[in-house]
Amino acid sequence: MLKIEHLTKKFGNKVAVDDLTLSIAPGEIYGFIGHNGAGKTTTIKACCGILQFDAGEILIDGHSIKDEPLACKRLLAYIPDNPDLYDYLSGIQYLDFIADVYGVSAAERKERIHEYAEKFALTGDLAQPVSAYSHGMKQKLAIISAWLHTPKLIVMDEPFVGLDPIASHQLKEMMRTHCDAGGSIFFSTHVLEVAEKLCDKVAIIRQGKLVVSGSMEEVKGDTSLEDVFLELEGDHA
Amino acid sequence: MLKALMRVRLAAMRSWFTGMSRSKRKQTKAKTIGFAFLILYAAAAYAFMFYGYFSMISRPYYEAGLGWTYFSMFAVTDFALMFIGSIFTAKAQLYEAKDNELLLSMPIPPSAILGSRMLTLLLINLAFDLMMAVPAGIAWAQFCPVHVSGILAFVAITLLLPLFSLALSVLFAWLLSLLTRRIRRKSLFSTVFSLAFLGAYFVLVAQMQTMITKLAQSGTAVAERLGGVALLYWIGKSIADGDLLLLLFSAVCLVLPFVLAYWLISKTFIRTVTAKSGVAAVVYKETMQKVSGVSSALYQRELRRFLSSSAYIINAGFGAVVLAVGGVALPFLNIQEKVPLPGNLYSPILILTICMISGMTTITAASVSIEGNTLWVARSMPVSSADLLRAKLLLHLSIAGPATVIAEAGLILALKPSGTDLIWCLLTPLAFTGFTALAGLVANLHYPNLDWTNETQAVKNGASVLIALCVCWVTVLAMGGAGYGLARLMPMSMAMGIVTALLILVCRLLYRWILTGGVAAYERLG
Repeated sequence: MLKIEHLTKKFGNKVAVDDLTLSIAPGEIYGFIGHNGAGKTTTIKACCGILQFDAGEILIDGHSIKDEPLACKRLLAYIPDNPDLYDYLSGIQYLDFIADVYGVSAAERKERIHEYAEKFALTGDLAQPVSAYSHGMKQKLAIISAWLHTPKLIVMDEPFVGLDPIASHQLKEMMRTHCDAGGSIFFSTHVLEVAEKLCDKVAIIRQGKLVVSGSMEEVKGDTSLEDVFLELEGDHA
Repeated sequence: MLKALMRVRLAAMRSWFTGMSRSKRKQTKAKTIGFAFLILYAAAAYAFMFYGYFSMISRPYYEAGLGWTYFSMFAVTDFALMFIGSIFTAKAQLYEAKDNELLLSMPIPPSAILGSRMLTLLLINLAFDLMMAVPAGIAWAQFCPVHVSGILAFVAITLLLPLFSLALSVLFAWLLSLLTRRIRRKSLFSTVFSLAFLGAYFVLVAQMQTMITKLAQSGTAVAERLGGVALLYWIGKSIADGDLLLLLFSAVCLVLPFVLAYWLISKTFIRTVTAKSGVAAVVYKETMQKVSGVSSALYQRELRRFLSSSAYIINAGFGAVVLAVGGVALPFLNIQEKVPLPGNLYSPILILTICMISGMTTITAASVSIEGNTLWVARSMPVSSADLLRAKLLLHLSIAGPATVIAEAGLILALKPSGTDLIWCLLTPLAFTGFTALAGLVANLHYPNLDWTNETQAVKNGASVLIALCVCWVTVLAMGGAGYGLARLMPMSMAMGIVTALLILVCRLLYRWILTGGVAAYERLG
C-alpha cells in the first residue's frame, strides 16, 4: 500500500531524512517511532505530498506521489500532529467541505458523520464554529474527516495527543477495524506502550536514518519496545 | 522582560512584513533595501499630500495672527490619522493575538505583555504622526518665522500626541472587543462598524481640499471654535508662541489619558483576552447535507474565509466598496460641469480613476497568507494547486467584478459615451480588475506570510499587499502615460484600445506564470 524507497530530504545543509526505505502492506498498522527531530513528521509529510523531497520515491498503491500526486491523495487521509482546522467553519461545514472534495455522496456522508460523531460524542457540537473547539475536539473532527471518505491509507502524526481516554480507545478500535477491512495505517507516536499493543509492524528512526524495522516480534523479541528503543538510543548516544 | 518581549514583537513585525519566516530563506540585502524603499515611497507620498494642504494655510494663518490655530488644526488632523490608522490594529494586537494565552502562562506580568504590545502600537502611531508632523513643520518654517521654544514645543507635542491617540484607540478597541464577544455575527457587526468609520474618514480626506481652502479664508471663525476647546488652544498657542507653561499643561493633558487607559486595560487584560463568548451555543441537528462539486467547494471555502473576517473584508475589499458606492454616486456628481476638461479626456481619466480604485482591492494579495497554519488541509487534498489558486482568483473577481460593473454603469450614465469609447469604458476597468487579482496573487506567492499571530498581519501589513497596491497604481500611471503618448499620434479611442490590449496581454502572461511558477511556489510552501 505504501512504499518508501531511498527517501532523502534536506533542509539547507541539514539532512532531515537520509535514504529511508519502508514498506507497508494492506491490512497493516505500522508504527513510526523516533526522538523529537528524528525526521518522522518530514517523512509523513512527504508521504502525503505536502513536502517535496530531494531523492527517492514514494508509492501509494503503485502510484508515485511525485508523478501522480492527486491519484495518491485520493487514496489517503492525513492527520497532522497539530489539528489546525478552518476556524471560520462550523464542524459540520468542515466535514461537508472534505466530503465535497472527496466526492462523498449525501447519503454516505450523513451516515458516516452520524456514526463517527456519535463514537466521539461530537454530534451536538457540530454546529459550533471550529474556533470554539478544544484541542481534543479539533483532533476528533480531524479523525472523523479522515475516515469520512474511506481512504485506503491513513497517515497520522501523533494521533493520540489531546484525546481523552474514551476517544483514544475509540480511535484504536477504528484503526484496527480499518486495517481488518484491508486498509493500512502509518502513524508516528511517542507512546511506546500503545505502539507495542496496536502495531503489526514498527520502524525506529534516528537522525533521519532507519535504525530498525520489522514485525513487532522481530523488533522487540522478548523485551519491551521501550527497552529496545532506549537501547538503540543509548548505542547511538 | 519588556526588552525581551519587544524583541519578539519587532522580530514578528519584520517576519510578517517580509514573509521570510516560513520560507526559511535568509533575507537578501537587495530585498531589505527594496522593502525599505517601498515603505519610504508610501510614506513620502502621504507626506507630500499633507505638505500640499499645510503649505496652503500656513502663510494666511500667520499673517492673520492665527498661528496657534494652524497648530491646533495640525493636532486635530494628526490625531484623526493616528486614531483611525491604529484602532483596528489595536484590537487585533491586544485582544486577538494568538500568543496571548501562551504569554499569559509564562511568569510575565500582564502589564509587560500589554506594555510590549502598546509600545509596538505606539511605534506605528509615531510613524503616522511623523508623516503629518514633518510636512506641517516644514510648511510653517518655510513661510513663517520660528523660534527655539516654538520648535521645542512642536517636537514635544509631536512626540506626545501618539500617546493621546493610542489611549483613545485602545479604549475603543477594548469596547469593540467587549461588544463583539456578545454578538453572534461578529464579522458583520465589525464590518458595518468599520465601514462606517472608514467612510467618515474618507469623506473627511475627500473634503480636505475644500475645507482647507475655506479654513484659509476664514481663519478667525475657526480660531473662535478651536479656542473653545482648551487643550487645542494650549497646544496651538504653546507651539506658535513658544509658551512653555501651556506646553506643560498640554503635556499633562496628553499623557494623563494614556496613563489612565494603560491602567484600566492592564487591570482587565487577562479577563478580556481569556473571556468566553457570551453567545449561547447552537446544537447541531442532523439533516441531509447539500452536496457540491470540487470547484464550488473550493470557491465556497474562499468566500467563507473572506466573509468570516471583518479585517479581511475591510482591508482587502475596500476598493470594491468604494467602486460600488462611487459608481452609484457618479451620475449625480455632474463631473463635466464641475471639472472642466477637453471632451475626449473625460472617459480616459474616469476609466483610469476606476482602475486606480480597483487596485485597492487586495483580496488575492492576502489569500495565500491568510491560510496560515491550515495550509496543510489544502495541500493534503486531492485537488491540484492550480485549482486552489483559481478559486482564489475567482473570489477576487466575484467581489471586485460586480463592483467594477457598477462603477462602469455609473461612468456610462454620467458620460454617455458612444462607439469605441463605450467599449473601453466597459472593457478596460474589467481587464484591470483581472490584472489586480492576478498581480495580487503573484505578489502573495512571492511573499507569503503563513506565521502570523493575528490575521491583520496577513491582510493589512504583509509585503505582498503593499507590493500589489504599488504595482497596480504604477500600472495605472503607466497606462495613463502610454495613453497620453499614443494619443498624440492617433485618436484617443485607438490609444485606449492599444493600452487595453497590452493590459490583457500582461494578464495572460501573469495567469500563465501562476499556472507554472505560481503552482511551484505554492507547493514549496509545504
